[in-house]
Amino acid sequence: MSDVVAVERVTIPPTGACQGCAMVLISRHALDTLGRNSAVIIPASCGAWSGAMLIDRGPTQFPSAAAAASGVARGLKAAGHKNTNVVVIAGDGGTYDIGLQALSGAAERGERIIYICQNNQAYMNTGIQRSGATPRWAWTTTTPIGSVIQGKTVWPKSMPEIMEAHHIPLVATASIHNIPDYKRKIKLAQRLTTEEGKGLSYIEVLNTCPTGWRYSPEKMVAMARLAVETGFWPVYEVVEGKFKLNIKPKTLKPLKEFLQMQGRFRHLTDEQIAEMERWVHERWQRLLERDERGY
Amino acid sequence: MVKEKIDFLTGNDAIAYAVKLARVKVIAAYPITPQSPVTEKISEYIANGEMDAEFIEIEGEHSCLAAMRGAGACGVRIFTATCGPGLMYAHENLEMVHRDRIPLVIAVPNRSYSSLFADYTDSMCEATTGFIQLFVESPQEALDTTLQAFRIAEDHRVLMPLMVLYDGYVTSHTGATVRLPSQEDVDRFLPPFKPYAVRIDPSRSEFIQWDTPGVPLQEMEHEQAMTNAKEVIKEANEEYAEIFGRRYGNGLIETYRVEDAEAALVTMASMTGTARHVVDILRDKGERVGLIKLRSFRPFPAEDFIELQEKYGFKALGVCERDVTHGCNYGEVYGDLKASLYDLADRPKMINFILGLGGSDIRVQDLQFAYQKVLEAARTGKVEKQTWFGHEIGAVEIRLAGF
Repeated sequence: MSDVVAVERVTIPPTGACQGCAMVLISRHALDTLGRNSAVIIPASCGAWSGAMLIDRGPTQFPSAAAAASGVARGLKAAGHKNTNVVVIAGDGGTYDIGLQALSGAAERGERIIYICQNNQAYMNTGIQRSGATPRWAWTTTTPIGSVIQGKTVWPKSMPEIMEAHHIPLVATASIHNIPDYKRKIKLAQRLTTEEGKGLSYIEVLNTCPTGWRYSPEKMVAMARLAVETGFWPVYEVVEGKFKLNIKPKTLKPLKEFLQMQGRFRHLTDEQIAEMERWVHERWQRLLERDERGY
Repeated sequence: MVKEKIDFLTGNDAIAYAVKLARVKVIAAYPITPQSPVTEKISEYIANGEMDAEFIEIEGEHSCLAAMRGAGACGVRIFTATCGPGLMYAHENLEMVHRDRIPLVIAVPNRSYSSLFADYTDSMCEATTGFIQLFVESPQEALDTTLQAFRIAEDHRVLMPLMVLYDGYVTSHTGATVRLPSQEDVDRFLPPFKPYAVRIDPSRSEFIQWDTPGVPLQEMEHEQAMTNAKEVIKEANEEYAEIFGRRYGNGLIETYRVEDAEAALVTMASMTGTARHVVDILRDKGERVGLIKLRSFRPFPAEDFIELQEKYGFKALGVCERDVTHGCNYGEVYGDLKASLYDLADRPKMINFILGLGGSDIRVQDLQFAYQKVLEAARTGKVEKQTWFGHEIGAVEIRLAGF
């Protein structure tokens, strides 16, 4: 059940995004849910060119999103503005890699920032180069399919777990095939971070990317759903230390169904698919155990 | 009559005190030697309730300048301090602060990259970033200039960020007698910040589209702002003198015994005190020497130097500086000054003295030697190549062979 009621649109279509880009939904629903009393900070990313909005956009360089947001949050406080949402919408490169230091610092300081990472698993804005969020064996322009090395050789890091280690009020993942769940998490972040001042909230959404993943745009929502149903993208939340798996399929669909729809995984051998599935299932098992424990 | 009390303060403490008097609203800082005491002192003021400000204990200088940019966009008075590698690390966001016309005041106790001690390796790297750069000589001038700095940077004709530069350890950590103005008098000189435009303001009801002018137009606007800054620096210096009775030349440069001088040295920051002493010694011996202290390095006061040259007709000028542009074998100030005077028919012979690098001492005998060289140039019309202090060229070869 969703507790989100009708909202005023503060984002203005159209956008400069590619066809079938999940970022459009991620930004729009976040900002429309938070409303006009917000300032949004967007570092270098696909989002930097994503269109107009009826709220203030703050300044930042690629590594500095969370730092600039810290300054905006404190500056607004010093200027006497109460309960303004300070929102960052960054990509995975600006979060996992070059922006990690600033994000970690802001989380540790307990800054009032709602940080949304729209994770499309590579540097899509600069031309599909690998990032710390790129899955193992995926093709990108810097992990090409060569005669000696094929795709990325290492596993991606787990950013939500890194953020959990900062003891912040909210760490959550979300998927664009379940907008009510995503909006509920945005509302939760607004309460915990902006209203109650309990510190930084981190929400990471899988940004299914037809351009970088090499699939046709109309399959955007189906792709997001399949990512969750195969266990590739678990949707969960950690609210003030309490863990909950939000979407719990009884059995996971074969990972192959998700992988074979995308050009970036076309070269995978059956052994690689099996190993990736094992990796996904082990993580899923750990999350089920956490869900049972509740922390 | 102004109310002032007298205390014994280091340059760092004097700046922290000025920041408190300026009623700064948001401060972000990351510790680095020899800057740290500035932010430690400000932290104490805030912890003791003597100062009402947001303090962001940031995790690095790159982030620090980003946070200052964010806070500055909300239209409040802001301050930070860093130096050396920290300043260089912040470079990307220094550039952005100036592009956004954020009137940030930043204190920089100059520090070499390769050592903890004073030279201008750090701030000279940022000479092109659009920051106003004022070099100060003493803790007193550091305090006075920091108060003037907010006036200058926040002036609507300027809206440029500003660095207050002082020699690491030599000025940052050395105590001196400082006259501390009262809050009441400072409030008269420095009223609350009235932003030209607030970039982030959730209380306004309509969408404000920020124009991004093309690059050439934007660069020309910035150059215009820097030109305006020359007048504004002079005004701030004069108005400060009217209230507090302390004046630093015309704000851009300060002269000492230049009347009838045939040769003069140009100095910056703390070495100026030593140079004044040397001028007195030489004047007692009948030598016609003078001194020009460069206070505003950016904007560069070319017109003021031209005016001095036209008025006094120096035969030779020496530029003493704690920096070098590798590949040119001269310092930044020498290059700028020589360019400024080039079109004059009666231009002086010029020598560059590179000294005090890595915090090495600048002694009375060093500056006596420099004066001797410029006097020789004034009399013979012949100029030796640039002069380095502290090392023989042969010593460099021996050191490199040791690798």
